[in-house]
Amino acid sequence: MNLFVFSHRPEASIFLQEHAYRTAPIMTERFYLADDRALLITGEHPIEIAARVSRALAFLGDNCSQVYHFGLALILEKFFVSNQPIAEIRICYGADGKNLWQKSFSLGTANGTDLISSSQRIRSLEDFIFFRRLAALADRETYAIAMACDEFGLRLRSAKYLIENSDAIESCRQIKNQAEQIAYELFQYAQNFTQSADAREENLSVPDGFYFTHSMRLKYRELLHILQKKYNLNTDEVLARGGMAEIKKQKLTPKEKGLHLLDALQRLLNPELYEIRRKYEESLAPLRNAGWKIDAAQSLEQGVLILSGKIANRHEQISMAQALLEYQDKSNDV
Amino acid sequence: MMFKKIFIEERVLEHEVTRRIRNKYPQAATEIIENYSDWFGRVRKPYLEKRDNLFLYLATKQGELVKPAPDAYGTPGEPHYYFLHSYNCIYECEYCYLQGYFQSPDIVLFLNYDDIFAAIADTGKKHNGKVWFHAGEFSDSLALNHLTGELPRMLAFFRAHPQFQLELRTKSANIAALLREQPAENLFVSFSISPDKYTRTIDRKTAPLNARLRAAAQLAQTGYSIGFHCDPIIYSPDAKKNYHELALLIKEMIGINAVAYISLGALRFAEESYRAARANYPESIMFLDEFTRGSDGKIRYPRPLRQMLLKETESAFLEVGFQKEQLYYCMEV
Ligand code: SF4
Repeated sequence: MNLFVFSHRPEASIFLQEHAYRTAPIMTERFYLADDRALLITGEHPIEIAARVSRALAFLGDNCSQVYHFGLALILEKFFVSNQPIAEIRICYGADGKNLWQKSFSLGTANGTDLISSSQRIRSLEDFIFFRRLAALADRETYAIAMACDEFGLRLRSAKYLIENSDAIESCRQIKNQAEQIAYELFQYAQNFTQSADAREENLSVPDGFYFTHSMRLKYRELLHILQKKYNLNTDEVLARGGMAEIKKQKLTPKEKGLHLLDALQRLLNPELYEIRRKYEESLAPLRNAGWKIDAAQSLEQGVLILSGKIANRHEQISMAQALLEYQDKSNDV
Repeated sequence: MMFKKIFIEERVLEHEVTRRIRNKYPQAATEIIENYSDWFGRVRKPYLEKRDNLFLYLATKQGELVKPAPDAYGTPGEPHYYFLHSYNCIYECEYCYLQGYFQSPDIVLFLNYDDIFAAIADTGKKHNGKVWFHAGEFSDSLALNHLTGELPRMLAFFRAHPQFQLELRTKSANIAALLREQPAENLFVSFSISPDKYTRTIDRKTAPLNARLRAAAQLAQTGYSIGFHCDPIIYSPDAKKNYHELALLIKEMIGINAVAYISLGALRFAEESYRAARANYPESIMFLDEFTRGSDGKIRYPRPLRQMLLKETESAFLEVGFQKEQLYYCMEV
């Protein structure tokens, strides 16, 4: 589901008309839901905006995959702005008065225009000169929306109708005809803009007869991706090289099969490293059998043996000491 | 390359370099500012903006102008420092640590050369023997020298202080200014290199391997001391073969005896740079292997893998005839 965010109602008017929105159960004055989308009108104070966008995103939860913001922006520097009436935003900076916020947000349009959101209106020449050093456009709201999206791990995309004079922004909102025209142009623009950005996560199918927990699934996805690229193979070829068919035939639970498959793919990733680790684990077996607990990964990384153990009686003391004496470090044999 | 905007500190407005750069980029918008640090890195500018939204700052560097280099940075057993003459780089190596270091990829050129040389002289005085000064810890030493025109003054300073070793570290072949200058034994030009398949893919926008080696050969013939940095070494099952070929190329084009040192360093990242590189180049061939956090907090190949890689690379050079004394491991733990 996509969430469409506007700071003022006039810019949202055509969007509201064109889809069958119903009032949401929260923020009923400003939050609307349709089958595959939601629309929020935030108001223009940054704190209100951040709070309302966050509330809407919390309400939508995992259903929301992308947030769009459409609105007006003031041109600070014509030199960097194309002649089109609407510009997509590339980076959004933020400022509170002359204090610049450290964080900036990339809005995903590689060849878009940079924008700074200022908590105060930009009216004086001094303000223009100050802010145009950073960005060619200014508004009040985008930064707060982007910040809320960032908190939810979502990337915002934004397109702005461009206005040359800060007072004109108010007039555009107040003069009905103009407001409708702008809303219409934004709506038209949104049709292509939203389609091109609808990047959904590709579905990952787990092979039949195998079971992966969430973390195993992530590992599986990562290994598949790297192996495809490393050996220039497709998924089936990677799985065949990993011996999936043989693993499937084994008398194991689906989860055990999943673990075996991950292990096989890991081996495929770097057979030399896999072999070193296997030998190292082998060399640790007598220590483990004697009761020592060993952090094998850290031991191998640091080139020291990191172990701990509990000795309950004389017999354990002797066997653990014996195992230590017999242990031969293989970590430096490479 | 084009700068979209040039920020100029008031105090360098009349500097010869400022004039030259403004003439060269008349279309770039200019902003006169009091202090570069009020603007550079004040807000986070995404690294890949360097491709088409690059700003240039012409500034003066205050505060610390010379810093001790990290442990295991240069040839062992001698003091190493780097001096700050610029920030950031026009190239785009996928592993570059600058992508996680500054908040901005914009280029800063410091034009107060006399202050920098004075700081070098002060630092050098603290040592009796050889002291190394590296240019280019935060940039490529030669990539922009045609713009800054800083080399003649820099080289003259080091020629006058033969106990100070200057290292100019580069991935460029921008050596015209060096060829016009008088070489000296304490003037080292070092080239960071990798097998061709890596320089072509992940050292984006840098000079091709052959151009770097040709530049090294020309400088060696002219009398400069030459070094190489095989850094970062990227794992592949045929790493040894690739480095063997590279060692042969160096032997043929430059000659074993003309090479003062070769450093070997396996691919590694500071944590921030790792995160930035993964985001900036998610499909990079650098990420086709496993990484772990080393005991120094850096993200590295697992220890057995990097030890194997370094040993194989080292033996590739030894087999071709380079001496063990010419080789050292860089930043290895
Ligand atoms: S040449 Fe050096 S400083 Fe420049 S991008 Fe490459 S690694 Fe970074």
